[in-house]
Amino acid sequence: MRAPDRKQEIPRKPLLWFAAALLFSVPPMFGNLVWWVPVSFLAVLIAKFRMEQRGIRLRSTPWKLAAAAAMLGAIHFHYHTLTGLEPGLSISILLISIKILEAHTARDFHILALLGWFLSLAGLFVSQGIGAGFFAAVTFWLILTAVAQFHGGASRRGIVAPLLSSLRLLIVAVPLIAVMFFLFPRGSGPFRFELKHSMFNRTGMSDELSPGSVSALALSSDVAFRVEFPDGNVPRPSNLYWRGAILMKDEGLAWSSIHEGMARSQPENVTGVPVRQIIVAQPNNGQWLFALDWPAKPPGKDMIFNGINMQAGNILHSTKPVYSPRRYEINSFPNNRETRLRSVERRACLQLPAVIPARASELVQSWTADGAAPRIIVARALDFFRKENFTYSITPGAYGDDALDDFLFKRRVGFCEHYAAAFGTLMRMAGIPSRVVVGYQGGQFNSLGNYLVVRQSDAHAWCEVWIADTGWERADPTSVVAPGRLDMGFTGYMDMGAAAHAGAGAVGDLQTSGAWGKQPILRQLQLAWDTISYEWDAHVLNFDEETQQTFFLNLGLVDIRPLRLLGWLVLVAIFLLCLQSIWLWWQARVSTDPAKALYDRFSRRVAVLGVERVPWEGPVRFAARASEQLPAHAPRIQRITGMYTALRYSESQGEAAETAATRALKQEIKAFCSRSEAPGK
Amino acid sequence: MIGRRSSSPALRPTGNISGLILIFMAMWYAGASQGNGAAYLLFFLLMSVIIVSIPGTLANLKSLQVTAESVKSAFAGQEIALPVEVGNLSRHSRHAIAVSLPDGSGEAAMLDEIFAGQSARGTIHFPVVKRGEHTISQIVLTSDFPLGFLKARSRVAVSQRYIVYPKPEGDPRLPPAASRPASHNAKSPSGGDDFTGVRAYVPGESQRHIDWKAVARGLPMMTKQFTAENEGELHFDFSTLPQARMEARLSQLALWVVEAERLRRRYGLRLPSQEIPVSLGEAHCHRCLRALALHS
Repeated sequence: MRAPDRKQEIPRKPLLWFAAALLFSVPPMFGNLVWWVPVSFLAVLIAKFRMEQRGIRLRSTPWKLAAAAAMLGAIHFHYHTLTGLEPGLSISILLISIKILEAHTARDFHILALLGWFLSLAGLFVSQGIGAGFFAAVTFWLILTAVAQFHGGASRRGIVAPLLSSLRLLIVAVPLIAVMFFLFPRGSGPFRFELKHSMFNRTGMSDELSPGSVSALALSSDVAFRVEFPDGNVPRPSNLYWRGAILMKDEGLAWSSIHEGMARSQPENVTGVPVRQIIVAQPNNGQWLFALDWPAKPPGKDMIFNGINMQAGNILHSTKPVYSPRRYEINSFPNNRETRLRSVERRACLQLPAVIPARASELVQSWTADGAAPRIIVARALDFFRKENFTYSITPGAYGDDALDDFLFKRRVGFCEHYAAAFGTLMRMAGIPSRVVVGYQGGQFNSLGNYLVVRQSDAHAWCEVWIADTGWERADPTSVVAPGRLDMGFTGYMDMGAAAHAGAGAVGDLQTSGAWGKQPILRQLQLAWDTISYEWDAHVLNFDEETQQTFFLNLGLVDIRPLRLLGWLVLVAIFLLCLQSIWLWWQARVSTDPAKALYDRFSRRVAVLGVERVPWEGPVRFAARASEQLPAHAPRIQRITGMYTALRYSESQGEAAETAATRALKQEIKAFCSRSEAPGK
Repeated sequence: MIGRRSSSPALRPTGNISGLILIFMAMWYAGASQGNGAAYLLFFLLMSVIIVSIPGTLANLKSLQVTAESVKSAFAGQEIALPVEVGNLSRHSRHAIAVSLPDGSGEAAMLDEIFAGQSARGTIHFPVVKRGEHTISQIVLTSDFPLGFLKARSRVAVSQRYIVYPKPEGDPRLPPAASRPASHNAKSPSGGDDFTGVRAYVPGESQRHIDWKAVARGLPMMTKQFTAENEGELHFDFSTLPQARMEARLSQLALWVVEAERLRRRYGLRLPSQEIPVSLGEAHCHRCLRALALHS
C-alpha cells in the first residue's frame, strides 16, 4: 500500500473509522434535531461507501449548491429561522454530509477529520454532561484513529490494534491535558457571543406564574441544582425552601414579576447559625440562581459579589446567563426576616387584580369583619384552604375567565401555583401585603455523594405575607392542602427505597416522582451516576476563571495573571516534551548485541596493533589478513573470530548456551586486549 | 556503497495545519466565551495530542541508515530510477517515510513500515532533461507520521553518480556506409529486407520495430531485425553533421547509435575529442552514448 499523497484517494479503512466516529458524534444532539437530519446523515454515510467503491463522488458545483440550498430551505421551513442553536446544529450536520459526498482526496480527508472534531464540539453546546462528554471523547478517539491510520500512525490490521495505537497517543497526552486543564488561562475577556438559546426546550423557572406553569415542571426529573452542606447542618426537609424569584404583580390566579418599587435590602437581623451551601446549578433559561430561604451576602461584600447579584427580596441572580453548570457558595439564615417595608413597596404589595370576584370579597370580609390581627387573618385563610374541599392535583385542568372564582368556589382543584396565587390575592384583599415566591421545595439526599439533589419536579410556589411586627413571613397554603407535598421532600431526604415512598401515594398524582428507586441496585447505580455527574459539573466543567484563581491562591501562588499562567504552561509543556524525547531517544538508540560490542572492541585493539578493519570486511577475511600481518597473535585472532562467528552466524542453541558463549568470548577478548601490549616487534 | 546515517530531523507544519488552527480557535472561543468547560476539555485534548505527537514525528526519522544504490543511465527526457535502501537501526518500527530528492522533483519512494533492525527498499523516480554526468549528493527523508499535521525532514549525504545520454533526435535514416570497402566482408546473404530474427529491445530505439505480437504473448520486448539493412560499416562523425547546434548534433549521433545498434550494423564514432573504433554490442553502444553524454 502506498502512503497517502495529496491526490491519492482515501483508503477504505480510515474512512470506515471516520464513519464510526461520526456515528458517535450525533447521538448527543438527537433531542435537538428534526428526525430527518440524522436520518439523512446516516444515509449519506452509507452512500459514501457505495460511491467510494465505484469511484463516484459529488463533483458538480451546481449540484452541490442545489443540495445546500435544498437543505437550508428545509431547515428554514421547519424552524422558520436559520439562526439559533438547533438550526445551527442541523446546518452543520448537513453541510458536513455534503462534504462527505464530495470528499475524495487525502486533503479532503483531513478536512473531514477537522469537521468531525467540529461536530463533536457542536454536540457540547447541547449538553456538557458526562454522557455527552463520553460521546465526544469516543468521537475524538475514533477520528484520531482514522487520521493516525491514514498517516501510518496506527496499525492497519484488525480493529483492536488501530484503536490501541491511537489510545497510546491519547495516554501519552494525558499529563499534558492535566497540566493544561489547571494552567490554561480561563476567563472571558471582552469577546462574547451569545447563541440564541431561546429554542431550547429546557424546562425551568420563568418570570411568570400562570396556572399550570409549575405543574408543567413536576413531571421532569431533570436536575435543577445540587447542594452540598459543608458544615453538615442540613435543615429539616420541610424547611428546604429554595428561593428563586419573587412575583409582585397580582392578576388573580396568575402572577408575574414586576420589581417596581422594590428596594434591595439586606435582612437586618442576621442572626443564628448560617447554613453554608455549595450549590452547582444546572444551565437554565435565564440567570436564575437558588439558595435556601433567606440567603445573605458575605459580610463586607457589595450586593453584587462573585458574579451573583443579590436582588430585592433576597433573590439571587447570576450576572451572566447560566449556560453551563455554575458553582457558587452562599450562606443562608433560616431565622432571618426582612423587617423593612417602604411605603412604595407596601403599595406594590397591596396592588389588586382588575377584577375581583364578589364571592371572594365576601369571604375576605368574613375574616376581617371583627378587626382581627393580620396573623389571625392569615391563620383563617389557611384554615379555609384546609377545611374546604380543596384537592391537590398535578393536572388541575385549565381555568377560564373567572379563574379565581372558579378555583376558590367551584372546582377547587389546583397545584401549588394555584394555591399560592389565590392565597396571595386573598391576603392583599384583606389588606395584608403579600407576594408570591417561586423556587423549589425539598430535594433528594444522595448519601453516596453526600449532597442534596433538587430536581425540576421539586418546583414550588408559596406566599410571603407582611406582618407588621415581625416582617415578611412565609405562608405556604400547599402545606395545609397537601401535607404530603412536604413529605415528598422528606422521602428523598431520607434516601430511602420503595418503603418510604409508600406515603407518597397519598399525595394523589405526585407518585410519579416516586418511581425512582424501586430497585435498590438500580437505585445505587443511579446514585453513583448522579454523584459522578455532580463531581463532573462541580469540579471539571466549573473550573472557570474564579475557581482557577482560588485554586492557585490556595496553592500559595498570588500572581496569576493570564500571561504568567501561559508562561508556566509553556514551561511545564516543554519539560514534559523533554521527558518524552529522552524516552524516545532511549528507544531510538542503535541496537547492538553484546557479541557485536565485544567484537568491535577486539577490532579496535587489532587496529591499534596496526591492522585496521574496513567496514565491509567480514570477520573471517579480516582474521586472515590480520593473522598474516600479525603472526604473533594469529592463534588468538583465529580463536576469537571462530567463537564470534559461531555465536553470531550459527544456529541458536538456546538462550543459556548463547549467554555462556558470550561470556567465554568476553574473557577471551579481555585476555587478548590485556596481553597484546607490545605490538609484536 | 556504504549507507549513511540520517541527520537530525527538522520539523515544519504541513498544509493541514491551517484547518487545525481554525478548529483550535473554535474550541477555545466556545470554551472562553460560553464558559463551556467541556469545549475547553476538548480543546486541551486535541492540543495535547498534537503537541505530544511532535517528539514521535522527530524520532521516526532517527537512527536510519540510507543507502543509495547504483543508477542505470537513461536518455534525457526519460526517468531515472534511484533504488534506495533504508535500514532501521533502532529498536522500534518506523512508519510512513517518504524518500525523495532535496528539490522535491520526481516521485518519492514511500516506505510504509520498517521494522526494528530491518530495512526496506524503494525507488525514487525522477525525470532528467540535461545530458551529462550528474551527482546525487543528498537524499531527503520526510515523514508526517503519526497525524499528518507536522512533517519531519532529515537529510542524508550520499554520493551517487549517473549519466544522462543525449535525447535521440533528428533524422532516423542512417548515413551511407563508408566508401572504402569493408575489410572483412560481413555475412551478407542476398534477400533484401528479409527478417532475420529478434534481439532484446534497447531503450531509446524506435518502437516501430518492436515485435508487438511477442509482447502480446507475454514475452519481453524484442526488436525485429532485417538483413537488408545490414551492409557496410558506419562512421558517425560529429564534424560532418549539418546541424549547427552542438546539442542537436549530439542528439542526432545518439539516435544513429541507437538505430545502428538496433539494426546490428557495425559503427564507429568520431568526436572532436575522441574516436571510438568500429564495433557492435551493448557495451559498445553504452560507450558511445557515454562519450556523447560527457562531450563538452
